Amino acid sequence: MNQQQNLWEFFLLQGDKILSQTVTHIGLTFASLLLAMLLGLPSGMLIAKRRRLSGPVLGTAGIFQTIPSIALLGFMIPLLGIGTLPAIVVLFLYALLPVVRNTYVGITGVDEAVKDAAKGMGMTERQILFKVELPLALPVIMAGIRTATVINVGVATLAAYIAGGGLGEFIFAGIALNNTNMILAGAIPASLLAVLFDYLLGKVQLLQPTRIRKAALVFSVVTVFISGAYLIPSTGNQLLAGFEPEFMGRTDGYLGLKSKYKLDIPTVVIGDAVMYKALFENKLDVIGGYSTDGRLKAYDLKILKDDRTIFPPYYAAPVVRAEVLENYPELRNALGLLKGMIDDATMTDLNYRVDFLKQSPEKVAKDFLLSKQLWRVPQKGNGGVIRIGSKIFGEQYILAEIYSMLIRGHTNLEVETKTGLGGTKICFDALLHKQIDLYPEYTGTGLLVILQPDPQTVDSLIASREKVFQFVQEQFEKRYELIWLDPIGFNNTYALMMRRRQAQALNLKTITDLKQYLEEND
Amino acid sequence: MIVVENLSKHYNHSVAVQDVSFEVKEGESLVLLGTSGCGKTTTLRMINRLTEASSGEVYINGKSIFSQPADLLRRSIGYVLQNNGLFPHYTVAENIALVPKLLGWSRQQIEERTALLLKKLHLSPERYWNEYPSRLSGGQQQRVGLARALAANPPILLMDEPFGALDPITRASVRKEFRDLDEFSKKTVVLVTHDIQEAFELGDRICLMDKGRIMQHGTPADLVFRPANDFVSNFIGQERFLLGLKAVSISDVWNLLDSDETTGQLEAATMRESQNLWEAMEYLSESGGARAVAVYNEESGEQRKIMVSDILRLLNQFKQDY
Repeated sequence: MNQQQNLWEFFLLQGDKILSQTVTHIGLTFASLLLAMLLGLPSGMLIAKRRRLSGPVLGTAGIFQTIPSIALLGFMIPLLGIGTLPAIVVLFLYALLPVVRNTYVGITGVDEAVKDAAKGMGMTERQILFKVELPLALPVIMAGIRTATVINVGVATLAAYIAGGGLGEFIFAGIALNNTNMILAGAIPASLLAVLFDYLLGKVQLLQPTRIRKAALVFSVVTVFISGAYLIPSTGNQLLAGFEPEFMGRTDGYLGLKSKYKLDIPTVVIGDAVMYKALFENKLDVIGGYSTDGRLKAYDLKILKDDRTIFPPYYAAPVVRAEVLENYPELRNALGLLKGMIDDATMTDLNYRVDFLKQSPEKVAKDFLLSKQLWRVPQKGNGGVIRIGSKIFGEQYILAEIYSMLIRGHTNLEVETKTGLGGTKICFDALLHKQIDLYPEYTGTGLLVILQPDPQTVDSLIASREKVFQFVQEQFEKRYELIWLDPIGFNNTYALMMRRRQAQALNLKTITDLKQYLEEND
Repeated sequence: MIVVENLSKHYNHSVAVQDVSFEVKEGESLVLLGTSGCGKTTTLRMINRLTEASSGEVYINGKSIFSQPADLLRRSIGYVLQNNGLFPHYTVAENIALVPKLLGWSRQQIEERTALLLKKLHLSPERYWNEYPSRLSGGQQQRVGLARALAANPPILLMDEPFGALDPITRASVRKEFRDLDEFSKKTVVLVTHDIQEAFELGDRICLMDKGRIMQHGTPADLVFRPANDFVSNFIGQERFLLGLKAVSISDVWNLLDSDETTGQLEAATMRESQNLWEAMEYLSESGGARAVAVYNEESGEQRKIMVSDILRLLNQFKQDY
C-alpha cells in the first residue's frame, strides 16, 4: 500500500516532467517513424517492382536491426553528435526494416489473378500500383508500421543515453538511484504508449477496405503533425550541461547544484559512456563526471572545485556478504591486500589505460599488481567459488579484475566475475539476493543511494570521509548483513568538469564561478 | 476481325506456342481447345499482349496490335479470367466501372451501363451495387467478371477458362446464360477451355491445340466427322456420339424433317432451328412421354417436328452427307 501511495505521489509531484518526457518520447517515435515511412514505403514499392534489388535492400535494412541499439547509438555520436538528431536517426534505422519488408511483402503478396486482371483491363503500371496493389497491400503495410511503432516506443527509452530525452531519463535515473517509483514513472507511460499505439494501429488494420484507406491517410497526417509539432530543443549561445540520468536525480548531483549553488544551466540527459566525448567535441560545455575517470586525462578536462561541498566522499571499498566472509575467512586477507594501495592519480591512470588506450582490464589489473609485487600465479582454485560483480564502467571492471587476481593468487578459491551490472541498484540487488558475493562500492553511493538517511544526518556526515565510512559500515552490517572492508584509497567523487581551455578562457575555477558566469551572461 | 499470323512464343529454350495462325470473323466465336500446357492460354494472352509474342503478327480490324501502347490496346478488348480477378477492395459497381472510368466516360453513362449489365446478368442492381466481391457466390463473381469485361462494350472479348473455377452445375447455368446474351452473339469472341463440351456449345469454330501447335481448326462438325489426324480422333474419343449430336444443328437437317401438319397434334413450337440435336433429345427425354417436339424456322416461319425415333437417323444421314 505504502509503495502505491508513494508512486501516486511521485506521479503527482513529477506530473509536468512525466508529461514533457512523454511528449518528447512520442515526438521521437513519430519523427523517426515518419522518416522510415518516407524512405521505407517508396523503397518497398521499388523492390516489389525490381525484385533483383530486394535482396540487397532488405539485407541492408536488416543489418541495422541486428546491431544492438546501444551500439548503434554509440556509432552515431562521431557522426551526428548527441541529442535528438542521432536518436531519431537510430530509431529511424530500426523502423526501416518492418516498413520496407511489409511494403514489399504486401505488394508482392497481392493475388496474381487480380494483378493480371488489372493489367488485362488496360491499367498502366502506375495505376496498378496505386489503385490495386497499394490498397490491397495496406493491411500488411499497416502491420509493418505497427511493428515499427511498437519497436520505436521501446527503443526510444535509450535515447536518454545520448541526450535525446524521453521516458528513458526516468528509467535510467531510477535504476541508477535505486528508486522504483522513478523507474515506474518512465516505464509505465512507455508501456502504455506501446500498448495504446499497438491497439490503435491494430484497429486500423482490421478496418474495411474503403475505411482503411481513409484511416491510413489520417494516420499519415497525424504522424506528420506530431513529428512536426515536436520541436528539437536548441540552446543558443549559452553553455550546455550534460548529466547522466543518475546524476540528475541525486542530492549530491543536479539537485544539490540547484539547491545549494542555485546553479541554473540548460541541461540535457546523456549516457555516461558518451558524455566525456561529447564534452571534448564541444557538444557539451559542462558535465558531471567522476574525479578518477581516465578520460579526464585523455581529453584534458578540468574539474571545477566543489567550494560549497555538495559532493560527499566516494571512497571505494569492497562490499562483501557477511556469510561469505564467515565461510571463507581467507577472503578478508586477500581483499585487504589492496587497502590504501590506489590513490586518485593511480586510479585515473588505470582508467585512462582502459578507457582511452583501450588496454583490456585484465592487462591493466595484472600490470598494476605486478608493479606492486602482489601478483601471484593462480592456485588450484578448488576451495569454493567467489562471485564478483561490477557496475558497467571501466573502473569497476579493473577493480573486479584486480580482486579476482588477488583471490586466485592468494587463496585457493575460484572466482566467477559478473561484470557490467547496469547500475547501483542492479549491483546492490544482486548482492542482496545472493547472486553475487561482493562488488566494489563507493561510500557516498552507499550513503545517499542505498541508505538514504534524512538530510540532517547527511549534512552531519558529508564533510568527513571517516564519518561517512563508519556510518555506512555500521548501517550495512545492521540492515543487510553486508560488510564494508577497508577502502582502497582513492576518492572517486562526482565533479563538475569542463574543457580545460574553455575553463581557463572564461576564468572559471569553482562551481560558484560557473554560477556567477551563467548569471552574468543570462 | 482478328487475324493471327505465325504467332510463336519461346521461353529460353522451350517452345510454348509455335507458328499459330487463324482468323476470327466479326461476330464469330473461336474456341482454343486443348489439355493444360498446350499453349492455348499463351496464345490468347498474346492477343491482348499480356504475354508478348516472340514472333508473328496479330491484326485487329486490319491494324497491328503492336502499333499502339499495350494498355490502350487492352482497354478496347474485353478480358475474362478463370479466377474472375475481381478487385476485392472495389464494390461490384466499382469493378464493373473500371474500364469505362479509364476511358473517361461520364458518371451517368457509367451508372446506366452498370445497371443494364447487372440486370442482363440477373444480378439485381439494388441488391449488389455496393456489395464487395467476397460476399458473392462463385457464380455471381463470375457474372460480375463478365460484366466488367463487357462494360465498355468492346467489340472483342477474350475469355480464359471463364467458367473453369465453377462447380459443374453452376458452370452449366452461367454458360447457358452467357450463350443467350445478345452480347455474346454480336461480339467477336476468343475463348480458351479444356472442356470439349464447352467448346462445342460455345464455339462457331474450334482450334484444337497440342504442344504449342494447332492440330485442327474447323467447325465442331469438322472435328467430329472429319478429324484431321489421330490426335483429334483420340481427343474426341468416347464422346463422339454425344459431340456429334451437339455438332448438328436443327437447321443442318431441316430438309430431312417431316412437316408438322402430318400430326397436327403439337401446339406452339418449342425449339428453334439454331438449336442442336442434343438439345432436342434432351427436351424429349425430359418432357415425360412426348413423342415429338415442334421446331420453328425463324426465317421462313415454317414449323416442323422431330420425333424420338428420328434423331439417330438424322445424325447418320448428316454424317454421310458431310
